[in-house]
Amino acid sequence: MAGYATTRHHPAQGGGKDRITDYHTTLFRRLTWEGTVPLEVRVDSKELPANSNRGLECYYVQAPRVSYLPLLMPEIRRYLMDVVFDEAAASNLKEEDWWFETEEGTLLKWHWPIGLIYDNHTISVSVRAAASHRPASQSLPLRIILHLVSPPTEKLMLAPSPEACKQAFMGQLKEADFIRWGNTKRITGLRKAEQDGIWESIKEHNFDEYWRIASKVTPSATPAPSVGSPGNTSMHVRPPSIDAGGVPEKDSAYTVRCVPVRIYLPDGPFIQELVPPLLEDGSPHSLYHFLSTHLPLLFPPRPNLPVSSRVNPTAQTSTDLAYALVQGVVSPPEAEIAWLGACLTGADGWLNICIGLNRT
Amino acid sequence: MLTRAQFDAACKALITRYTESASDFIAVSPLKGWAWNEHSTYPNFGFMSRTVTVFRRPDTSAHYFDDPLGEEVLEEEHDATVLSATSETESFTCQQYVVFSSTFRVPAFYFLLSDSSGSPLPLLEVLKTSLFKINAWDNPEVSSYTISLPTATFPLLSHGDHPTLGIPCWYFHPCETTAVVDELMREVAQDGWSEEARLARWLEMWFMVVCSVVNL
Repeated sequence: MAGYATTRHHPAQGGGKDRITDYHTTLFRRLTWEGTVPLEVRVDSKELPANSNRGLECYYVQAPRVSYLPLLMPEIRRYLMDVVFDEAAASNLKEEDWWFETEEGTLLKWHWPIGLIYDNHTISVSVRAAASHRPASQSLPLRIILHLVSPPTEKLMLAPSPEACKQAFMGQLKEADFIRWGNTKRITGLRKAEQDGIWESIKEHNFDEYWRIASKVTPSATPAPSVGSPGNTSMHVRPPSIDAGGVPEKDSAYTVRCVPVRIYLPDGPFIQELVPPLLEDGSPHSLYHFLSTHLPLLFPPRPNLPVSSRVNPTAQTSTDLAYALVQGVVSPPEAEIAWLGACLTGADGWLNICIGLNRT
Repeated sequence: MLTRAQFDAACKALITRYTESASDFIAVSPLKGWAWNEHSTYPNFGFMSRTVTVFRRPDTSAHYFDDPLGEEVLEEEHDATVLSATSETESFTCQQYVVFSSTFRVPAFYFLLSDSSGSPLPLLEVLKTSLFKINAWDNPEVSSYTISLPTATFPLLSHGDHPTLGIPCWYFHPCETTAVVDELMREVAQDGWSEEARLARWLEMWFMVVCSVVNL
């Protein structure tokens, strides 16, 4: 019923039967979906079987940010069998023993989206390599060691299978649904075929199929009519895609109960707090306000942001101690959490914000 | 539902209450033996933990879980006193955690079971230990990574990272907790309770709910 039609005309036409997603929302969702990260997957040299074609044991891939390591395993396996291993070694290859770690020896979580693994590594490096400018590391591949044997079960517990990954993914999707609406009726309201279809669309990297289903559970970036009405002083900082209301209030990112957000700190646990889309005074909750509330030492509270920051949204002062990565992009401080939660979430519905440290 | 501060207060009140009355430090009750832990760097990541020993059930019984491989997994009637007295029975170390679920704003029960070499037990082996009550659920669907009921939105038991330690654990899904505990609290609530007493009682009721499926 609800197709994923788009329009260049905004405000979005929200009154019809089908949900029409406005052009800018679709644009950012597609940019997020099409985002890839460079990976270098190298088989641990100590575990290369005899007669392997040494020198070719690296597999390079631009992996989709929304994908998962277990979903890359079939193509890595094909490569190893076709190019690196001889027949005897290939027949002994057991994927249930595979596990991944970074060059630094950090065990990789196979149930994390690949984009999150990459960004999380970027911020860890930002702490250790204070001497380098932050964009430098982002163009380099993330070097991953693939181990073929002896998984450290005490740290891994489960082998990285697509089925376990799907279960973890669906759990995340339902939790995000709960945080947004206070229940999981939208996800559970999907037919079984649609629930399975969401995961299949990630496996096949099919944007249209994913959003055909996901648009039924993801809020619209367009504010409800009551938000952003004349007199709301925050209007001038809102992205142009959402300058006017038009969607039913129940579907707007600005009327959800909370936005599913996690803040990842370098080498630390993630912070998950309740993040309402609007502040008590009715103005949209900005990224900087959110960060300065929870990490005031890294993001000291500021007076109201100057209007000029809209002209150059990436402007940051040289004294900023830290930066926020969302889908690999350093996000402007005035970005609205609600908008980020509608346009730049991962496929699992979560807005992941990775905090890196600037060179001081 | 609880706030993070209420969770911290409830845990600390419960630990105080049961440490003082415990004659030994053996975790013989669901409420004894818990310790409070904080994250080494960041505030607001506190949780309770304890370590207990559980046993493999002897192969004597009568209850079956559906094994995904089509085999029947034997489960016998449980008697904790008999099991703990049987020195021959294989024992496992069970790390137990009570953490705060940021999504559902309630406590959540996380655990790990490992054998004498430190390797974690697979889920099908976990179910054969004395941690689990027999007939805890009707017709559960068991896979190697989750236990579900056909009618439930979330799996009852799945794997997930410990929110503070980041290590993979098994955990019981906390989404139905609030309604059940609140209902119990309406039955036992007394006028004049201090906030601390109310929170400690809330956590006791939560343990009671958890104990409907596991032997703590």
